[in-house]
Amino acid sequence: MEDDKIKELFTNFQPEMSSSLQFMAKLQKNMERVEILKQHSLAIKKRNKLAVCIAAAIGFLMGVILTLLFPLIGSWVSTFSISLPHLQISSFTIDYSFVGWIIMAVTCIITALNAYEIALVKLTPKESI
Amino acid sequence: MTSEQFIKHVEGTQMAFRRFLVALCCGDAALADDIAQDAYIKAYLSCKSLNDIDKFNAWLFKIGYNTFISHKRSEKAFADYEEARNIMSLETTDSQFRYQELYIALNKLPDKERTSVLLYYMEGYSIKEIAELEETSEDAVKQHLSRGRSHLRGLLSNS
Repeated sequence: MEDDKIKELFTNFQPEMSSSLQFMAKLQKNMERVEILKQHSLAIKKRNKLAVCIAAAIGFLMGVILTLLFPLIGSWVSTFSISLPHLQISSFTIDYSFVGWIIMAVTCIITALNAYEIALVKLTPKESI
Repeated sequence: MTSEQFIKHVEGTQMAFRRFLVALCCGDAALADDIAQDAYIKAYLSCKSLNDIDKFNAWLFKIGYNTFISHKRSEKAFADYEEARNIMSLETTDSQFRYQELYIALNKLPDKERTSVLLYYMEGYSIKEIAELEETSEDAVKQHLSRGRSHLRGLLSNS
């Protein structure tokens, strides 16, 4: 079999296929589905970003409030240690300011995480829950 | 590329693309259509990355070829050749029967040889373009073509 014959064989190759209209209709339907999925994933990304922003803002706000209240917290801890002398809290030589900062940080993180969860729930459309 | 432009391009090229895939799938038109749909969706999702619209066809054939290869890899065990031949004989129409010997011969060629032969003889791609499409060297394509040709000659002259 010669080269030209192979070429001729493939040039005249006309296999039986489904109609173009049917194929295009199916393709357009698939493309519409892809668009719906794309929009859905875009909305989820947007929602997650917004929830992160809200959580960060609330965490920051909580941090500011607690920092402003820090002197009050310090005095409250010292009052608490004086009122309970039998526990001898001061004898442990605990650095109350360090403990106070740790408590503040943990509170901020927990508040931010909760804010993120709540924001996600509130921002999710009711139909998709 | 907007979706309207994409559809316009697809309408103009889908027959040649599907014809190539039917030959690549050795006459399995349903599988070829599935691969074509998959390839078009992949192309649609990444058509923003295509800068040169003139290269749409070559780009699409590359996606089609890769989709075919990944489909073959995912299907661990292909149906036995003889079984496929029997199904073909029972269910084929006259038009498919016309190409039965060609499909059998194509089925015996390795994927790379089959793709090179089809792209070269059916679609008229140059060796350089085929090398880019298959992500291989021009020498390798020349070798695939030479081997594919001699295999086809042997298989088709026997039948």
